[in-house]
Amino acid sequence: MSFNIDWETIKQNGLCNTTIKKKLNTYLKDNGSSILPKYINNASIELIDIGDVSPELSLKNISDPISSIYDSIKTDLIEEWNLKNGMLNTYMETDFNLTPNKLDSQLIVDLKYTGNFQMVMKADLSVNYPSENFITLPLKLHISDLKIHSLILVAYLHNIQLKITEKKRQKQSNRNKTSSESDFTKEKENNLNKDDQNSETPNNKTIFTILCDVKDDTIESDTIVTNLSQMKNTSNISLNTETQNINENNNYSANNHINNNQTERSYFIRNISIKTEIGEGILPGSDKSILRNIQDLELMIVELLRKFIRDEICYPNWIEFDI
Amino acid sequence: MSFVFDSAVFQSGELETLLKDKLNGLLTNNNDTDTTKAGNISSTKSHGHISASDNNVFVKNISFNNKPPIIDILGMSILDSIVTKSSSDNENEFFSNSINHQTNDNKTVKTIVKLVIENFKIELKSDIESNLLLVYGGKNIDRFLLPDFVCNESFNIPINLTFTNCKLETILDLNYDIGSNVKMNFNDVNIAFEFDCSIPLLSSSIKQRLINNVDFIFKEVIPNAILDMSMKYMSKKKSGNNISQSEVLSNEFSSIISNDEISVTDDDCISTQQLLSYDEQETETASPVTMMKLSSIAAKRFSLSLRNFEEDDSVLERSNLSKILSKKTLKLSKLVESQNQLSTPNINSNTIYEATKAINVLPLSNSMIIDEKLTEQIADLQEMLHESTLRRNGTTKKFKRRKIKLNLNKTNEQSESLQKDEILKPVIVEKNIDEIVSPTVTSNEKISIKKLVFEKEKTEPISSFEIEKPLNLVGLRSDSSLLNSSKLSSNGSFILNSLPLAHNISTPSTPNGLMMTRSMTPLLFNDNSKTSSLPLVDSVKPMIQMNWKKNSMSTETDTSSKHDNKISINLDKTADSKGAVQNSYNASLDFTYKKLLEKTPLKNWVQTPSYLDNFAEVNGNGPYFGGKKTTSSLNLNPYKIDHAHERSLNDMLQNLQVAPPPYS
Repeated sequence: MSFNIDWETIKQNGLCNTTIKKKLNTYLKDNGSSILPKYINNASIELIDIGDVSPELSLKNISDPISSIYDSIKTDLIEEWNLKNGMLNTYMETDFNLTPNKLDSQLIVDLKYTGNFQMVMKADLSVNYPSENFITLPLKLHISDLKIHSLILVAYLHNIQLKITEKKRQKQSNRNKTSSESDFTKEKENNLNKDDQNSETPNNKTIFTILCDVKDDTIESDTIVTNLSQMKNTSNISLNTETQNINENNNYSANNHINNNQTERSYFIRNISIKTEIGEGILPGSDKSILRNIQDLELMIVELLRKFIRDEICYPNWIEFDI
Repeated sequence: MSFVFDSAVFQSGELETLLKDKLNGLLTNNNDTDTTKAGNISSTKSHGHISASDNNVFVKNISFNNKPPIIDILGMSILDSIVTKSSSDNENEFFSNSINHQTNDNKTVKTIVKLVIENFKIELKSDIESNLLLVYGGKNIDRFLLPDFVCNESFNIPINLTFTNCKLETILDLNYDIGSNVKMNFNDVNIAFEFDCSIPLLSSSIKQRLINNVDFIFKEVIPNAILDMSMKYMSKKKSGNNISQSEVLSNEFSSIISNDEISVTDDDCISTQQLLSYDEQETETASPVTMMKLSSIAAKRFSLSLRNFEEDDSVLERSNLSKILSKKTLKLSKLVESQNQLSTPNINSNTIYEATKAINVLPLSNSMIIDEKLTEQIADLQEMLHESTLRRNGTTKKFKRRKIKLNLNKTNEQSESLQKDEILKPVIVEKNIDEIVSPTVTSNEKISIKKLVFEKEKTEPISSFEIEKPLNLVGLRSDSSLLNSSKLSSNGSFILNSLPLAHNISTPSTPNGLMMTRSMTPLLFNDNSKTSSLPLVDSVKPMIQMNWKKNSMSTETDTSSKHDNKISINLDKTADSKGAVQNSYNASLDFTYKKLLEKTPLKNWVQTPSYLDNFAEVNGNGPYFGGKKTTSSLNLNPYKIDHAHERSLNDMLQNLQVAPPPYS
């Protein structure tokens, strides 16, 4: 089941680009100092264009959430319970059970984007010694040719409740050795919500994660063609179609930034083109020199971006939204 | 690519002061260290080399003349590895370090920088050793010619060295090991300066000696100083490691200004790991060449991981690492039994195979069903790959699950509206009413009027009031027509609108009422004569209807339908011939009526009877519209105003809210 996205309505004849740009600039202005490293200042979006092509969303499956999600939430709830109750009662045996809700569901969505998204970002790399912004290096990034094709997992858990069964055992007393009643178990069942203070309100969670990348011939063929054309221009790489190792040659490409020396479980951004301009010359009215298209720097930026995404939202890491 | 310097720092002199203090501190420390070691300053002096610490150099002044230096990066490259292997065939052979790609710690930024500093000035203060007697103590003089010196000790003469109009232009290699250090190598140096010292005799010799030592300064002194500073700065960021080990190292390595090289043997490999971290106490370090060798040894260590011997984890041979990793990537593709055929129209199939094999992708076709089982398998595989990556990098942190709390409050269903139910609220301003209308209206009657107004408002909502559009006369409020705030505010004066009042006073000749406003003032009279876009009087239902039929209630709807509010005026056309009493009574009424009018805005009309001709019909003449203009004065005698209705007449006038004529 695929979704049709009315991209024209979203675009609003370019109004969407303006709105997104304003919001991002406002966010960077307010929170840039806390989010970005200290050596990056004055980050702003100069241009953003969501393009003419909408992403392709296709719903592949609707099912119950996978067991690892329940295990993770159960672990979090147990830790929270232990923090609250401590380890005072050493004689307590507790059983924790997380029962799935009927409304729990999981969506597997195939996301593909091969549009003409563009973005131009500006920032200053600064040396804050001996004073703040003593030396600044203006930097401009042109981001384009973004290609994505991945499976996304979205899970919804309704009214999460952890059932706690406490079993208390008393030591056999000396007086009643023969009595079978000396050993008794007291079962106390508690239902623990994620947030006890708001036990009346249902505790719902939405989990968003990128499950894996999907093989896409169109994306891969485009990148290989680009690599081949670039490899022909480089003089220090020998072309041998039979034995060439793309793993090594990809390091010198500008468009396909997949570093195959270290194969990762997912990349998410399959292809991206980043063109850099560094130097005082990018400032308006300046006649200074500009350094353009530093491939190694672009590769590093792409790797940093991929690493960030992989650590944040690629399975088994995910984002939980508490609703 | 040029850097941008903060010009304010140069103009304020902060940088110069800081540089001076730093240099003096460094020179002072070195001087103290040397004195404690050597015990004698002069003994450490070596020929042909200037040893700053020996001569007690002190920086007196540094000046950039408000002009920052120019730093241009001519080229830049970023390498994954810091390993450099020097051999006879290949000077630089780079090996990829496949272990730690998750961070940039093993990356090196190599740049070629052009540095230009112009119009730079520096003043140094020092002591120069002087012994005039040693002039005669040369080697070429025979011994028997030498006199017996009673005292042959040297003495220090202070000297000031001034370097002005200095210009430095150089191209240097600047290598930045991320998180480690900064190395500098000058390739091409052009330096020019004007030298002056306080002892002119020695100026030329000192200058020559300085020129001879420039190579040493730029090849050894400055690079060592930069390396030392960078390592100190970056080691502060890292966690404090091995303070005791730094003390051990400080005894092993030489000082900054020294030509002695350190030979690193295999026995020192264990301590090489500690070289990467320094603390504040460490003041001595190795030369750049030594550091390079040590770092290469440390980096090679990562390729020989001996933690686990499992095949899936780490390898003993670096060359096989990529093959083993690629085997893992095939597992994801093997999950799907049916795979699409690779279509390669113009490209060699081997290249695509290599590409897909290297990337961990799932072959997904349109017909393929992703069921729960497949999802679980994919999730398990991804988890396994993640754990193996963590183990390879030596980290223990397992998963990262960011939690975001969303407070989705229901939006208040307030009609943001104030959407203005297009009911036009009446603008009843009592004060204004009092000003215009007779003040004799009592409060009770005021209240009654208000009530009437609001009731009307509820029942008959009125469309938005616009000046340009013709009013819907039905249900129009008289009080809103004249005293509409918009009109008052826009005009700033009381000007009658050209629209008729809802209230009409009927006359015997015009029982249906007439357009009183149009006959009020000459201005309106002129306007009225020109345009008559409004419907005729006949279509207007009078709000106050005069009952010409012996005060009987009118059947027509009237806003003042209540008995209390009904204004009934008995206005007979003809004089009552029934009696003189009646006449006298009428005359008294006339007089009373005149008096009444004098209190109203109509008083001017009493004085100017010509305009009063436009006022209600007199003596049976038809309505004024299109009627003849009478020149007779207002004769109110024909109108028999009942004494009982005097009050109601006041009410009527109040309701009319007749504005005084502009000429008043």
